[in-house]
Amino acid sequence: MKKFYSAIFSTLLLLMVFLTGCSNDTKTASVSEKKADSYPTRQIELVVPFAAGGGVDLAARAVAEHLSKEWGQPVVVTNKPGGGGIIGAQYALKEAKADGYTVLVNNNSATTMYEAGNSNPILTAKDNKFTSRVAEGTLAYAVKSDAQWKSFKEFTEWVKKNPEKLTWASVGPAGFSAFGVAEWLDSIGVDYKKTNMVSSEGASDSAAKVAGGHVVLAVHTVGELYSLAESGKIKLLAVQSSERSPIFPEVPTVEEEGYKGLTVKWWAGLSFAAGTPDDIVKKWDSAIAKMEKDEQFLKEIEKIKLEPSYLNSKDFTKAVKEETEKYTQLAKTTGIRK
Amino acid sequence: MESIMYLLHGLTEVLTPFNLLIVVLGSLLGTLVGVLPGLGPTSAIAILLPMTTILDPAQGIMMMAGIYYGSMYGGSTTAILMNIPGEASSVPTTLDGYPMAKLGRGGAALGVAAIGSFIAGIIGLIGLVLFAPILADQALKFGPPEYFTLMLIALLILFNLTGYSFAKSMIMGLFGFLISLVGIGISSGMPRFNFGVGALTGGFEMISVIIGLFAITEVLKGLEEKRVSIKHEKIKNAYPNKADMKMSLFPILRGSLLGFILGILPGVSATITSFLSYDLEKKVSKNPEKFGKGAIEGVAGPESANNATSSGGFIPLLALGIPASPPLAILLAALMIYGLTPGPVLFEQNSQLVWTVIASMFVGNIILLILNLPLIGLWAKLTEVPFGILGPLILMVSVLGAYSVRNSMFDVIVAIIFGILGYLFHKYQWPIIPFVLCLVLGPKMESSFIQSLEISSGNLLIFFQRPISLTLLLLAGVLMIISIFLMKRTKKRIMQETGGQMEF
Amino acid sequence: MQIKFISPDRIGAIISIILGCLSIVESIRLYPYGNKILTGDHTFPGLIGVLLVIAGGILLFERTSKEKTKPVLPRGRTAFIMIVSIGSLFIYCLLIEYIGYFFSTMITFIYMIKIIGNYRWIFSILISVVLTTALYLLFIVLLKTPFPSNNLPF
Repeated sequence: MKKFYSAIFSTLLLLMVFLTGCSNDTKTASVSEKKADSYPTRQIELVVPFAAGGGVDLAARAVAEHLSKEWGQPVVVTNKPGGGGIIGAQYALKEAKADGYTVLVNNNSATTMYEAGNSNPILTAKDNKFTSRVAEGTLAYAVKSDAQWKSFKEFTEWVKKNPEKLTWASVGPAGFSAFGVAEWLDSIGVDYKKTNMVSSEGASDSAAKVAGGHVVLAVHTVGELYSLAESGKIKLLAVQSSERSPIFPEVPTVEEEGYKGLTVKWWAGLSFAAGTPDDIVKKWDSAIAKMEKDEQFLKEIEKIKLEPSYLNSKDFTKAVKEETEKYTQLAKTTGIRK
Repeated sequence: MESIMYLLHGLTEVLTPFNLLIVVLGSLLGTLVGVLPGLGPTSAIAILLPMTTILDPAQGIMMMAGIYYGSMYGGSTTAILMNIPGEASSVPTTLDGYPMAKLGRGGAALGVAAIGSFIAGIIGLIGLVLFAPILADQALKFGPPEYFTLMLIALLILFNLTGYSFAKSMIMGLFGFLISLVGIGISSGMPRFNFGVGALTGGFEMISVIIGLFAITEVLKGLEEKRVSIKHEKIKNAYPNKADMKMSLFPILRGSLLGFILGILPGVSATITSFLSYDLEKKVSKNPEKFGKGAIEGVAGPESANNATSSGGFIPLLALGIPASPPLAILLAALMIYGLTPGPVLFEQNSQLVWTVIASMFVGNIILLILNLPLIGLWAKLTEVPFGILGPLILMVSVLGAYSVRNSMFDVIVAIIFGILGYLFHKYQWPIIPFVLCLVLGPKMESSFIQSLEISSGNLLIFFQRPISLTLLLLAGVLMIISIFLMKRTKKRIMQETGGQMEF
Repeated sequence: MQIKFISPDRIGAIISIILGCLSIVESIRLYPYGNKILTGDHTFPGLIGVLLVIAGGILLFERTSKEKTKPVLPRGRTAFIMIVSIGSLFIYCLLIEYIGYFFSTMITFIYMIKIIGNYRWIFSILISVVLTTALYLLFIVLLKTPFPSNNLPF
């Protein structure tokens, strides 16, 4: 009797294991020395070092969607938020295996700006193999909708005369907003340290603070400010790009208002851990290049109010290096760098 | 009113077979996610984001909304039956729900929780329908100083909850604050308390701590007591009786109102409102000493509050595009993917869609009530599962749940360690509620305080200079005096009645 | 006198004071990064540190008012089961890193069910397989939680 039971039980066991194995999409990882032709052979993890729902996350999901279809293997977005992007970056670049199955989606806050603002960064550009830049976002200056200034120029003049009265929201002391404001203040000759930075927990938090009149200025991407601007609670004084934004055509560019040389922009791109085989990086790069021309993908990007902006590995790496140097300089002169 | 017309039309849209299925699926998934510790609506909604390509906007949003308010229903089940809150917002429910279950009245608690959640959901929705734009504007007026004073009021709960050692409660509360501080500082961007350990730089995830303190500790307690199964007596009535409902009516109404109004404020989570509701009930009750031993008001209030908060949270989301909590942030992302922008524009251009979604929320709440009530008997049977199987299952689910929040093994280790700590706290009678409360309030309190001072350039008077903040401060003062008075009176009563001391 | 002084409450009080000092130290470390005395990441650590020390001090010298029943830690088999359960959770964390979700979950389940529930091996294995599969379907198939599983496919 016992034999019978153990037979049944072991068959059941085997059956379970078999079924589970079958229902699983992942296949046994090929030996790693196979060429990139067979890559990818299993699920790829796309690490987003920020919370779900933000700009980086949405861009990553658009990429994941496209590549899953292209390569027939699931590309899954995982969020590892915290530390201004450092936690996720550390995981993807240092803790995970450099076999090309873990990709980091990043933006300048956690790379160039982080390195520029910290004299002891945990991660530097060298830990990254920059693959491709995917999207960009335009900076915009937002104040309360019934604020006294009717134009960016008027506002800037006011700031020049009353720097101590300027309170502006910033996500992190060396984040996107901080650098944007620093560059602007630097160019108009206002001492960054005289103004009041108010820490904020995110773009929508900053926008809400401006709308409620608690803070004077918020500097974020057009996409992040969109909903409150559309609902009329905040107004955008200027956008920082070479042309007017298609989303807000009535808002002038900073150049039109007479301020040249303001170049801070938001971007998101992909990178691998240093040590990842080059041909995998190349495969991704060419796939991204193709994706940036794909209509479906472009529509997705537009929906999340970003602009497609492709740079291949070499150019991307160079751009990052240049940006880091520039921001480091800016950080030193304005006092952001600690 | 025009909106009512849209609402009715939306209702007819919802009541089509496919859409109904979507709502049911969303609600069920939400309940499931709410029941499991660690899993929350945030991860569930995030997983569903790719569905936005398949479902059309109304359906996608309906499902995600379903998950959100569904999870508020689910969290109470395990909280009541096993002292394991499925969601942080169900922690107060354990305080009285579990004692009720131990007395065999688990069914009644579950029933009241479900009914309260339903009523609260509906009240919240009505508020949403009628007052959305106006309230949204008011919410904007709440700046950092106002948030800080609001949190201060929440802290006053501690005065009312203290057992026999004020110092112990204070230490636990401070410890909770301390844990919440670990991580990257909001103002300087520098890691705090990380002692060079990379994993600590990310800080402690609140959910993993709660899983440890409640789920794992509970299993340890069970092991020590050599439990055979969780329940002691057979469940007599699986449903609440008339007396229960009568006692619960006002707590439900109060909880709903409290939850709804506070839920409109971005950043005030369902956890905070449910704690506040518990405290409120205790304060207005004629017999506060029965709280903690199975007072049904202690279940009705918090459960209503957390559901009302979820409805309230939709107001800033739809009217302004400001997500009041992480799951709503993902919902916002979904809206953006669909190319819909929240705000007055949404109400104007896509009004039909908005009202359909709102209509679906009404339907969803009804469905959840219908599903949950009969299932109470089924859930209650869970307590009869032998502990030998349930215990390991809880432990494993805790581990997996803790991992799934941030995909971090560190969180799992934290959960286990807090499981051990929780057991020790229980053994040596250190109160964990102050700890949990301050852990939850800590981040928001600190950031509000720092932001307020940044706005005022270091001037502490800012809290007194702003009208709303000043009002709240005065309210806090009044409440504190009442609390101390009540506490003294309650202590005296307990001494008289039981000769023993009050615990919570 | 010695033994009476070291009661669990007192230990807690001392830990509280130590934590408080730690917090103050951290606060001092962070001070240069802050803007002014009250705004900055050092504010709350400092404040909480001070309060922790005070509270610990109060507790330290609080007279144990009544005859409280002394909490007794479990012994023998019960303690064994508890320690082993927690230990197996830690081991589970390690296992998952090396042999992936499926087998580590199964092994841990089997062991815990046997230890806690005192069932026969066969029963434990059966239940374990069922539960492991159920959780697998939930966490991995439905929710796509990425588990560290470098070697085996599942």
